[in-house]
Amino acid sequence: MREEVASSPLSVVSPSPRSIAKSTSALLRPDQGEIIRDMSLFHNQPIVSAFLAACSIVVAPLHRIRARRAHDKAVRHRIALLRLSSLFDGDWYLDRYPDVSASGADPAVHFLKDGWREGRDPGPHFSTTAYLVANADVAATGANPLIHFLEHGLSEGRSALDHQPSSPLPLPPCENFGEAAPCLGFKLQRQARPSWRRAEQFDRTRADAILIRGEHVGYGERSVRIVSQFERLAALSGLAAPVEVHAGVADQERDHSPVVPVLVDAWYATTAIFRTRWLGQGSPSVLRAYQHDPSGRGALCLVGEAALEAGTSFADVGLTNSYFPILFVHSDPDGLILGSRLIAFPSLSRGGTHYPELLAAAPERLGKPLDPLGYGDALAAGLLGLRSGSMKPAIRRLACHLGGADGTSPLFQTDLKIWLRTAVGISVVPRDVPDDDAGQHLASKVQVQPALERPSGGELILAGDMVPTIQILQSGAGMTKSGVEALRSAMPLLVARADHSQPVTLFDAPPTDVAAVIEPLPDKALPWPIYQSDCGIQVTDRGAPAAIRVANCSHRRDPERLVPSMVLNYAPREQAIGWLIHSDEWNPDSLAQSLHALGLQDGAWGDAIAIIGGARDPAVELCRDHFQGRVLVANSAAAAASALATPLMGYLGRGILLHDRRCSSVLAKMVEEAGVASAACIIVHAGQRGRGWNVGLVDAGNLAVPPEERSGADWVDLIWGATYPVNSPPERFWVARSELVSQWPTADYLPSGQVHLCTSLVTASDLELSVSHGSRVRVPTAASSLQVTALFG
Amino acid sequence: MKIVVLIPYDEYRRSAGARIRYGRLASALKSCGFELRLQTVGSFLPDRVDCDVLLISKCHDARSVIAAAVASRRGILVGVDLFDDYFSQVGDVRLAQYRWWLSELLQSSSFALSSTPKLERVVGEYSSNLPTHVLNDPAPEFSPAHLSEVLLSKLQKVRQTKRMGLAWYGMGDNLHFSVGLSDVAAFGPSLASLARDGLDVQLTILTNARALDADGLSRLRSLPVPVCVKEWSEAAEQEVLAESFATFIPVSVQAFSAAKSLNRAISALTAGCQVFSPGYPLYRRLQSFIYEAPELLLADVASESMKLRPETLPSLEQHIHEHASSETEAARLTRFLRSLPTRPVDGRPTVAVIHGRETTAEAHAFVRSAGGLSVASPFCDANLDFDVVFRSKRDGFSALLSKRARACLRNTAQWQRRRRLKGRSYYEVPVSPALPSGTIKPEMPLPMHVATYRRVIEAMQASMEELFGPCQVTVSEHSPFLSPLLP
Repeated sequence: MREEVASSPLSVVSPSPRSIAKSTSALLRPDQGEIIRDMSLFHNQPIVSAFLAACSIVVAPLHRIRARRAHDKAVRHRIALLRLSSLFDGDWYLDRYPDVSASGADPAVHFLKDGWREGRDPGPHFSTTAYLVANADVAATGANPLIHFLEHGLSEGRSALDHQPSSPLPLPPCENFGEAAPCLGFKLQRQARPSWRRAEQFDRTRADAILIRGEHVGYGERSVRIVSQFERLAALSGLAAPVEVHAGVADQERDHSPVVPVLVDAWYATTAIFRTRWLGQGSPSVLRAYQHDPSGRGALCLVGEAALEAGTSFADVGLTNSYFPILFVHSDPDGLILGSRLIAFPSLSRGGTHYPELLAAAPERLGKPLDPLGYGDALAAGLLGLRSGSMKPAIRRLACHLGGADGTSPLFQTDLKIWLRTAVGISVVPRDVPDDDAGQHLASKVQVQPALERPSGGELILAGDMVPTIQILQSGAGMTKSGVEALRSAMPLLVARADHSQPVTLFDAPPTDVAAVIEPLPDKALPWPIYQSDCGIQVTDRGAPAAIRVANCSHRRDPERLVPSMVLNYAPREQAIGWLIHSDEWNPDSLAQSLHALGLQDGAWGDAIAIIGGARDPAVELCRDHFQGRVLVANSAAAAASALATPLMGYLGRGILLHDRRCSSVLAKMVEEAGVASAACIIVHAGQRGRGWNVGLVDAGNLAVPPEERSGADWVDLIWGATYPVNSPPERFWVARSELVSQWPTADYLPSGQVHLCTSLVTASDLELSVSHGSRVRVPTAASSLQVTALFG
Repeated sequence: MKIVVLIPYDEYRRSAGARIRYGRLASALKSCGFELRLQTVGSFLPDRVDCDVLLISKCHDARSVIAAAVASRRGILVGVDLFDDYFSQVGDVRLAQYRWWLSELLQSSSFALSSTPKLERVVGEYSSNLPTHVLNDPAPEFSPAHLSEVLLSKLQKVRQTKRMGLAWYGMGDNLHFSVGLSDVAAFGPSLASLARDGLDVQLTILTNARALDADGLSRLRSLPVPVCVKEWSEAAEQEVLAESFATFIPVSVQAFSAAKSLNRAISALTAGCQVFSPGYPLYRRLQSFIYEAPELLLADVASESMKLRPETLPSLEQHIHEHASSETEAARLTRFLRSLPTRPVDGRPTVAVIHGRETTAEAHAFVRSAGGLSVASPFCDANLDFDVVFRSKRDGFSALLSKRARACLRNTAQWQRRRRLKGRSYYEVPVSPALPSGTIKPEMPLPMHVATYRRVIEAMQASMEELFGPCQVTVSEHSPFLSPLLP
């Protein structure tokens, strides 16, 4: 009782030393063991003096006890860490250091306490001395090097293998990962590492040695099979005559051997490191990876060599070229070949240039696992078919439209150019070369001399930031109905974002030769890949994506959404537009502003207004203010349309304001083209944000976009500046030729060959962000439109 | 002869542009009898400044335009110094403000300086007859004897250790363009070729912290060689260049990159680094020291005959004398300036700033301190003591004039009525701009601003002439939505 009272800081009872000790312990900071010196709560000075005097006697032992406990806990944690790590091998340690073994010490405890200070290594794959030499900062701290590596070094990117001298062989930078520092306390199954023979140790004189192009790849009796795999590797690398390949089964060594590891996953760790994950089938094996080196006259190169354990193993391949095929050969530790696996197109793997194509080709697009190997095998069969001449190619040559190019995309890089030329048998030619030194530089960088063309097919024109898909490169040729007419049409495009966690978007524009869709603006990139042939040839699988683009900007800044481009290929229109306005749906203030802006449009001097409503409508007066006498009143849209004598007609629905004076002229030019039923632009809304504004997308036309993709219409940002066909224009704004509009009331669908277009070259504003109740003017639906699909990896 | 370089703010003195371009030039100019000093635009009084040449450097607002107008009318030679290309991307709405600023400034300019021939051509597109001089960035001081030792030591180290240190340094990002780390990543595959030959290649990146966001770091993660990233500082740059065998300076073809100066390559060479520069041949004037392909770099390492080696140092000195010597550049610049015709003193006609939707009090104060008129447009809601306020009414426009502005009226007999606005006294005069009827107010929606802005500003410019006679009018507009619409 007395002690309890004494523990209260407000007590005035003289404390016993024991009670002081108790109260002092309550004042210790658990992490530091220091005494909190703020004793202001103690009003009784004698008590404080006694308290402080006791502290030096009582607290110090407590502090030491706590510190020792903490130390013991840390030691236990570190021993557990060592035992879980594959870099610590207790058996190896005892074998290597008989004195430790003789002492009966626990190897982990010994290494932790003394071994590392004595320069002993914890296992065959970690050198204590080398780690400390390579990491002077660690050495300076006096930390155990392996513990440091596991707890910090691994995550800091330090290498446990740094001490190994650089090898003159082109070996990958690492063969096996050490386990990461464990964050969960589960026990890992340990496997003894097999001793294995490196390729450089093979005995070429053995009778069962298998030599391929001078490279000793292993031993075995099944030489015919492995030789054919190397032939396929050479054929797909373009360095040997095509061999017959059957899609699906291919001649992969899918012999379900219980000893051959299964390739579970593969991706690009960097642009030059291809990382693979294998599931071992029971016994250890050795994996070797081979690639032809196109820059070394096609020599066969060993690009990776690693021992795989049972269970999951990783192996890295140091690529000679990131597009060329890779052959993985499995052998036992002595080099006896057990099986192989050919990856025909590594770039289909995650992080690869063609990965978006794999997403587009995924079965049912969602729900089923991606199969890059199976898909790659099928494409390989097609490509070899074209090269052997058993199929006619759809693509004769690739052309790069250089407008807007900056020379940083893969099409300008050596690896892709060499792969196209050597493995695919096609090269890129420049076109639309800008007339300056930058243009000349780009032209020289994109082509490989001499240009290589296939014997027949059309031309695939790509923008400088696009890459052709493997599928289009191996596509066979079909013929158009007539078999003679020239063809120039947009092709499906995949757009990936620089952020790989974002979905890839597939844009499939229907076949059209409308110039507004397929022609780029001066100095701008081509909006879509274009297929062009002059002899009736077309791509058999037209729906397949033809190119991949990596969008360097996945969203547009607000000013760009209001004024997408300062330079447009347009002139102020000369044809007048008759604007249909349903006065009853408009807010008078908005209508006044909208009419004011309409009057400021380039070429608006002859425009007329048709008010659908009553003659006493206040809107009529407003219109007269802005358009003098060029105002008429009708009781229906059909009546207004027939009464207007203008060659063009436009619909201005509630809240729409044409903020860009070029807008109606751009749209008028679009509808002049044959086959264009209507033209519209993207509708945006500028919302107030403090003293500033933010601009969002409101309507990008009606097209085949899945509901989950509709919100915000963000896909538009990925094709900003493009013009595309839509099923129907935005409900509140469009421009069309009057003679076509007069036919619309009687039709549900546009006649074949006609399209509605929507453009993002200019935009219009929605002042009110009102919910649309549908178009008040009947617009027939177009049969086809741009299709937009989000693809998730 | 006195040269005043007008800079945007004090901190700018420490930027690479000011430090390298003006700092290294000042002493050489002094020996030619020229004095060069930097002055912030905020402290600049154009009607009182004592100088012969006014050089405007990166002051992208209305103040510099007014400063140029006032100074040129006092007979001072006014020029603009361009060393970043924000001006040739004519379709890019984001850069419209820069383009408009340059075209306004050149109206009062007697000359232009550019850091490269490419930028000289850009100036020519704005003003084909304007005398333009290419002022190269001066190189740092270096000792050929010391450099010779450094080169031998670096090569020996690479051959012995099989380790090659590369460095990339500079701004890792840009608000408008994909440059910096983007270029490093785009040309990263060329580093793989270096590493394939059995060399341990390590790349050190020195850059600004802002560039090291998730995107920037993930770009670096894709590089085929190990990367060490550090924040840039002048000292860190010196340290890394001293340690590195070569610099990796990829250049894309976009106009901004292709117009850069030789500065980075020169800094690297004078620090004893080889220069590996894939992409656009920006450094073609130093071609004999530049590696464009990794294979050539490797071959030269193998044969111990690098492009930059003790035997080629005389050639490097010659190149630096030609393209980056502070003495040469100072002599050329003084010769150029002396060749310019003197500017006649032009009385004091009116200068004015029209304030748009987003303006600054500094622009208002600056034009008034320079004896000009500060004019509020109908888009402007700033509460400043403007000299002229244009108001839009349903039946047209009117202008409210302060007493000060009234004194400048060309036709004082115009009808005037006294008005009060925000507690200030004005005289209202009617103006007749060719505008459709309608009310323009600061609080109207943004699309309405965009729709009407250009026509209203044009009409105001016409009205200013009508009211005050010939005058130089510029616009202070910082809204990114409206500056692209400036006439």
